[in-house]
Order: sequence, then C-alpha cells, then structure tokens
Amino acid sequence: MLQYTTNESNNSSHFFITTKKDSLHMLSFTSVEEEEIYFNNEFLQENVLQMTIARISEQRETYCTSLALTIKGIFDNQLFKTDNLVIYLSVESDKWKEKLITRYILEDSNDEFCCYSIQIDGYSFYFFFNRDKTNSVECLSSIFKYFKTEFNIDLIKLHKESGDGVIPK
Amino acid sequence: MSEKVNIKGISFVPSSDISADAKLKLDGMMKKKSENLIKLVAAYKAGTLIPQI
Repeated sequence: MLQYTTNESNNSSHFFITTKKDSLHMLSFTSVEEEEIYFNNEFLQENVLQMTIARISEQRETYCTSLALTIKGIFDNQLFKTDNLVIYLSVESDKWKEKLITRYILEDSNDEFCCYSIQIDGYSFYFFFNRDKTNSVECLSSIFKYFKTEFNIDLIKLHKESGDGVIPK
Repeated sequence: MSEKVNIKGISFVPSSDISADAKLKLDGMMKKKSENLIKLVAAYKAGTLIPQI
C-alpha cells in the first residue's frame, strides 16, 4: 500500500496518494447532487457516492500495481462503512482510468467486492458495492430503471464471447 | 496476452443502438464530469483543497 493523506468533510472525502516515484493522484468521493446527476430513483440517489480519480502530477505513472491496490484499499473501507453504499464512476472507455480500474478489479482478493459495469458508446459506467452490505438485486434493478428512464436505453448482459467477465492481464 | 476470468463484475450493454438524444445526454453528463474534474485539480493547485494535517 502506498502512503496517502486525506481531507474529509460531511459530504466529501478526498485522498491524496503519492507513488514511489512521487506522482500524485487524488481520489475523491462526493455525494451526488441532483443538478449534476439525477438518478430518478430513491435507492441510487440516496446511496451513491460519486468517485473521481485525478492525476495531479504531470508525470504519468498510473499503471503501477501498488496504486491500484491502494485505491482498492480505500474503496473497501468506504464500502464497508455504510450499508447499501454504491460507488459510482463514469469514465471514457479504454483510457488510463479504465485500465486502472480493471487492474484493481483484477488484482482484488476481497470476495465481498462486486461491480456492475455499463458500456455505452465509448463511455463506461461503474457501480461498485460490497455484496454483504448492499442489496445487489435492488442496486441492479435501480441501474436498469435509471438508464431506461433517463436515456431510454434497455440494457442486456454482455455475452461471454464478446468479452464478458474477461479482463486482459 | 493471457487472460484471467473476472468473477466479480458483470457487464451490460444497450440492447440496441442508442438514440441521438441519449447520446447527447450522455455527452453532456460526461462533459459536466470533466469540468468538475478540472475544478477539483484547480482547487488542489490553488491550495483550497489540501490534505488535513
């Protein structure tokens, strides 16, 4: 695990992670504001924390395992603290942030950690949760309702032959 | 390239092509996210969002 410092308040938590090569990344968790994202259902609007990852340093050092594991450790703590918490992250597909995310899913050893990911037109939307603390059925049902109501999009599970459940190592 | 099965995540995709309106909404949402990210980094660089000692 890498060293990190924090800045926490009632509705947000920020973590400043420094890698061994002194590259600085910020991980931020904030409550969802309706004017920013309106999930249009109670479960998501009440339980989602929006996550943002920012690389502060110009230096590119985003793929190291220790960074992925440190972020994952922070994640697990957040998810364990509150019942029904869902961490939401939206990123452009195939960019460094998504590669970092797939890395920490791949390297993860916590059986309670789960995620639903939605791939739409060059964007990826991740909903992370602890399956022992969060109602996974209600979570999925709410996600489906959100995409249907807000974007008129019906979701289907990605087929295995298309890559479902397989992450490049 | 070797592959490792991920049993933790389930992925979903639209069942059909998305509408132009949906695409516009998604683009708008991601643009807002990007603007917030810029504000966050600017807050750190300006010293208004810094680690608590």
